[in-house]
Amino acid sequence: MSSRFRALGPAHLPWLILTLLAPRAGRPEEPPVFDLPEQVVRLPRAAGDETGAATVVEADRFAGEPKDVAALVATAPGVAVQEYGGLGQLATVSIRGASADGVKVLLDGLPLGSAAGGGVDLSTIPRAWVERIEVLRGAEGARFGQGALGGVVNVVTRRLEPGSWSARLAAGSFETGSAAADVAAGGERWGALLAAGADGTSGRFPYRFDDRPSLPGSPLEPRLRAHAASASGGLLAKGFARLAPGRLDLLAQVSAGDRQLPGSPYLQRPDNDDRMRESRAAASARMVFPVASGVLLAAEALGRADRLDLRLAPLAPVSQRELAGAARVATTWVAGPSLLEAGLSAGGDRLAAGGLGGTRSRTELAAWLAEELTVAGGRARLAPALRAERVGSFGGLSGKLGAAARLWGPLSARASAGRTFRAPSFGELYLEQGPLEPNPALRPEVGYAADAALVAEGRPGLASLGAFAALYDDLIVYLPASFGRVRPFNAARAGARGLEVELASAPLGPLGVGLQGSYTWLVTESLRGPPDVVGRELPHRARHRVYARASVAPGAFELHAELHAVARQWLDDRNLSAVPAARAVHAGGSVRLWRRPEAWLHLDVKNLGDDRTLQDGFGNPLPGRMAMVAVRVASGAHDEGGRR
Amino acid sequence: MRRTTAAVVAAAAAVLAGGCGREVVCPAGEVACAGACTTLAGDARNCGDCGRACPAGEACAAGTCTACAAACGSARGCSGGVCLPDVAVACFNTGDVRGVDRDLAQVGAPLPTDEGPIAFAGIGSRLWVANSLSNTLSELHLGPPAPWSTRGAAALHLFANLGAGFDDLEDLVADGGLLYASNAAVNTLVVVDPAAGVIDEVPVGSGFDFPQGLAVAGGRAFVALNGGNALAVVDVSREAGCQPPDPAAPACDASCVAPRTCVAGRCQRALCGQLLGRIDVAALASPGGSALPARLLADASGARPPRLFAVLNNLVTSDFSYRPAGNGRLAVVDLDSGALDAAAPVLDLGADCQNPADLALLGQTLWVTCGYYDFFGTRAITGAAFVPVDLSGPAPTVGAAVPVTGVAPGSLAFCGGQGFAGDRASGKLLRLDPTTHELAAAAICPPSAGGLAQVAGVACAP
Repeated sequence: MSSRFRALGPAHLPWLILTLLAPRAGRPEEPPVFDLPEQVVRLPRAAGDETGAATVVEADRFAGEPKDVAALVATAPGVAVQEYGGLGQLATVSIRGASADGVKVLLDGLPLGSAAGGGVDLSTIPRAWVERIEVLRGAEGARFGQGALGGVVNVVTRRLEPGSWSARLAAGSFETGSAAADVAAGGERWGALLAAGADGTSGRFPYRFDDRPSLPGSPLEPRLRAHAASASGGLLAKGFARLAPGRLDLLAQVSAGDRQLPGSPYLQRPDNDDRMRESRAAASARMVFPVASGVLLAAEALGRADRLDLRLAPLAPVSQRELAGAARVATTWVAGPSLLEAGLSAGGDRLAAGGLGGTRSRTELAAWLAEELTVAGGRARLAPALRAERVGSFGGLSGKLGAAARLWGPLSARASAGRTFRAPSFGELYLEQGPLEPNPALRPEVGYAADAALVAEGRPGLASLGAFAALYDDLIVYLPASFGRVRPFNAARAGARGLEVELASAPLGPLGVGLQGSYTWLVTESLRGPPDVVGRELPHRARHRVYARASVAPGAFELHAELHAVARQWLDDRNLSAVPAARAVHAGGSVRLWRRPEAWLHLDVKNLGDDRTLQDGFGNPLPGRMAMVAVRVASGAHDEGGRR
Repeated sequence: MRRTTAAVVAAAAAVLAGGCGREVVCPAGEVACAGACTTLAGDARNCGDCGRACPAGEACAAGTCTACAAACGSARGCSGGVCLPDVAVACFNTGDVRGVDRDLAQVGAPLPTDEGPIAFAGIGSRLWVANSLSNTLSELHLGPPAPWSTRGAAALHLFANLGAGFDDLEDLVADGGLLYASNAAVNTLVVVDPAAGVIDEVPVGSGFDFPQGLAVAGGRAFVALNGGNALAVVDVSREAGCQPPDPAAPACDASCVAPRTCVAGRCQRALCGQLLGRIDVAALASPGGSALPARLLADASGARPPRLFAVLNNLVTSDFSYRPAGNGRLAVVDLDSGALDAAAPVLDLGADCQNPADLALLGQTLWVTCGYYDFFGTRAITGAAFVPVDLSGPAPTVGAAVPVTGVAPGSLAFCGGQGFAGDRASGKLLRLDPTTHELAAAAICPPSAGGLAQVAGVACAP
C-alpha cells in the first residue's frame, strides 16, 4: 500500500476499499485509537463513510458474555432484532422500520441474503468469528447494492494478529454450551488465521402459558418449551500475503446448523418433528495493488453455496440449494482533496428449491461511481455516490449524497439522503407452496431516506443525536386470495421517522467506569391501503427501544449490568392486537485468573428477574433467568486487558 | 456554527413531521368518502357523490335519492327510509358485508367490518360476523334509522395468534343468546356474551387440529377439527351465567365455598366449558384420503331423529396436493348416543360433489354445497354442485345433484325459500331455487386492490 493511502487513514477511504481491504488487513481495519494513560480504547463510531449513520459494535467489549450476533446487533440504535424464540432459533434484523428483506447483511463484505428472500438469519453466523459489527442505517444501495432499503449490517471477522491465540468454553442453563478457539500465525509478509466455534442448547426452558388467551384473567399454566434444541458450528480460515505488486487476501468459511422448530406454543404437538438444517460455504480472493501514483486497483472474486432443508408440517418438506458468485473490479483515484472510486461487478445467483417451478437463476450486474471531496480546508466533506444495477429482468438506480462538517471542538454534524431499490425475491416471484401463491408481475420495492445528526466525540467518549425519515414504496405484501391462499402484490407504502441516540464512554476514573447506551424512537405509518390500515403503525415496529449498560473494570475484575426495554408492538396492520412492552435486566461479571496467558472467568445472568411470561415480537416464549459460566484464555493480541 | 446547527435542527424537525403521501385504496367501483370506502350508487349518506345525503324517508338507488318504497327491490321492503336486504353477504377480501335483495341486487352501502369476514350468527335483530383475519367479531345493524357495523377498536376482539402468522376465526354460531366462535389460531372454542364480552374459552385441540365448523345442541358444542380429523365435543351446559375468572378473587389459603373453587390460586367460579372428548372421523375418508371435517349442522328440532351432520372435504393430504380423494362425504352423528350413527356413519354425496363446503336445512331437505378448485394445477373448478339430502325417511338419502359450472359454491343459507350461496372463487352470489333447480348469479363482492374476491359467508338478514 502506498504511503499516500496509509496517510489518509480508514476514515477517508471510500466504502468499497474499506470492505475489500480493511476487514482482513492488519492495522488499516482498526477504528480510531485513542491512547489513554490507562489502556487502549476503541470508540464505537462510523467506519468508512463519515457522512453516513453508522455504529460499530466491538465484539471484544462483550468478551466472555453469552451474546450471539443478534444480541450484538441489538445494541445499536435504529435496529430492531426480531427473535423467534431465542436460544439458537431464527433471528432477523430490521433497520429504521424496513423489513428484514430490506436489510443487507454481509460477512466481510460478502452478501449473505438468499435469493429466496425472507431476510438473513443472524443465528447462522458463529459468534466466535466476530471482531466487530458495522451497522449502517439508511438507503445504502449506492454503496452496497440493491436490497439495502433500511440499511446494512456488515459482520467483520476476527482480526489476523500473527502469534495470537484464544480459546473459550462456556456452559449454562437449559443445557446450553459453546466452545471456540482461534489461532493466527505469520509475520509481516504473510499471515493466516484459523477460527472454529460450536454452540448448542437443549432449548428446554420453563415458561408460563395462557391456554385461554381470549379470556381476560385466565390462569397461566406452567409449561416446558419442548422440541427447541439447536446445534451449530463453523470454521473460518483467512490469510494474506504481501506480493510484489500488492496484497492478496483469501478467506474461506464453512458453517452448519441443525435446529428443531418448536413453533407457536398454541400449535405444539407431541409428535412435532419440524426441524431445519442449513449449511453454508463461502470463499473470496482479493488482490489490491497500486497501478499509478494515487491510483489503487482492487479485484475480487467471491462465491457462496447454501443448503437448507426444512420440514414444517403440514407443508411439504423444503429443500433449497443455492449458488451465488460475483467478480468485482474497483479503482480508487486520489487527486488533491478528491477521492474518486469507480467499480464494476458481475455475478449471478442460482436457486433450486421445491415449489419454484424448477431451478431459477439470474445475473446481477452493477457499475458504480463514488466521490469523496474534502472542502473548507478539511473541515467539511461531501460524498456523492451513484450505482446502476441489473438483477435479472429488474433494473434500477441507487444514489446517495452525504455531507459532514466539523463544527466546534468535539462537535460535528453529518447528513445524508439516498434512494435505492430491492428486486423481488425468487420466493415472491415464483414460490407456489402451501398457502403461498406466486406473482411474476411484481416490481422492485423502492426506498428513500434522509437523516441528519450532531456528533460529539472526544477522549471521554462519543455522543450522537440523529433524526431520520424514510419512505418505502411499492412494498411487496401478501394479500388474501381465494381458498385461504395469499399472493404477493406491490400494494403497500410505508413511512418511518424518528430519532437515534447513541452514547458510549471510555473507561472513566480508577474504577474504569463505562457507560453505553442507545435509544431509538421510531414512528412508522402505513401510507397506502384500505381505510383501516392507512395511518396505522407497521406491525412489529416498537416506538421505543432502549439499550443501556454500565460497567466497572478496575483491572483484575469487571462487573456490568444491562437493561433492554422494548415498547409495545402491534401484531397486525390495523393495530388491533399487540405484544405488550417488555423489559429485561442482565448482569454479569468476570475475574482474571492468570496474567500470562491471560485467563478470565465469566459469569452472566440473563433475565435477572426470572420473568417467565416474556415473549418475542411473534408470541414465542422467551427463557426465564439463564446463567452462563465461561472460561476464556488468550495470548497475544487478545490479552490486552480482557475487554476493550 | 450556530447557523449550521440551526439548519440541522430545522432539517430534523421537517424530517420528523412526516405523515405525507397517504393513499386510501378502495375496492373496484368504490370511492373513499371521509376515509371510508363506499358505493355512491347505493349509499344514502353519499348518494351520487361524497357527502350528498338523502332526505329522511328516501333511499339511494343508482346514485339518486328516491322514495324508499320505490327504490327497494327486496322482499322485506322499506322501513324507516331504509331498504331492508334479504341476504347479508360477507366479502372476504374487501372486509365488508353487503346487503342483497332476492333479485341479487346490492342494497345500500357496504358495511365495513374488519379483515376477512367469514361467518354470520344472528341474535335477535342483530347479526354478528366473525372476521377471520383480524380475529374480531363485528356487530351489524341493517335497519333504521341507518345501517351500521362495528370494527376496529369498537369490535369484539378475540385472541389472534398473529405472532405465528396464523390468525383465523373459522366459524360463528349463536345459541341461547351467546355466541360461539372457533378460534383456529389457538385451537380453542370461545364463548361470548354480546353484552359482557368473552366469558369462557375452552381448549379443544393441539397442533394443527384447526378448529373449523361449529354446532351447538343439547348443552353440547361440537367443533370440527379439520386437521385432527375429529369432532371435539364440549359441555357448554354451564355457559349461561358463566363469569370470567376474577383476578381479584380471594386467595385459596382457606377452603373455597361452593360454587367457588380454587382456580389459579384464587377462590372463584370454575371455568364453565369442559372438553368431553372426540369423535374420530378419520376412517370415513376415501382410501388414501383425509376426512377433513369442515362445517357442521345439528338437526335437533325434534321433528326427526336428532343428528349432527359434518361435511368432509375428503382430500389427499399425504403428498400435500390437497386434491380430491374421492366424492364429497357427509359424516352423521347420532346426537342421542354422541357417537357416529351406527347404521350409516357416512354418506357419499355422489360423483358430482367434490370438496363439500357447507350445508343448510330447508324443510326435510339438507342441502350441501360442493366444489374443488385446482388451485396449483389447471385452476379449473370440478365437482361443483348443490346436493340435496332427504331427511324425511328413517335414514338420510342423497338425491340428484344440481351441478354448476365455473363457480365453487361455499357458504349456504336459505332465505325466503331460496338458496343463496357464496362463490369461493369469485365475488359472485348464487341463487338456487330448490324446487325448480333454477340458478342465477351476480357479482356482489368487488375485487380487492390485489384483484381478488371471495364470498366467504352468507346469512339471511334478520
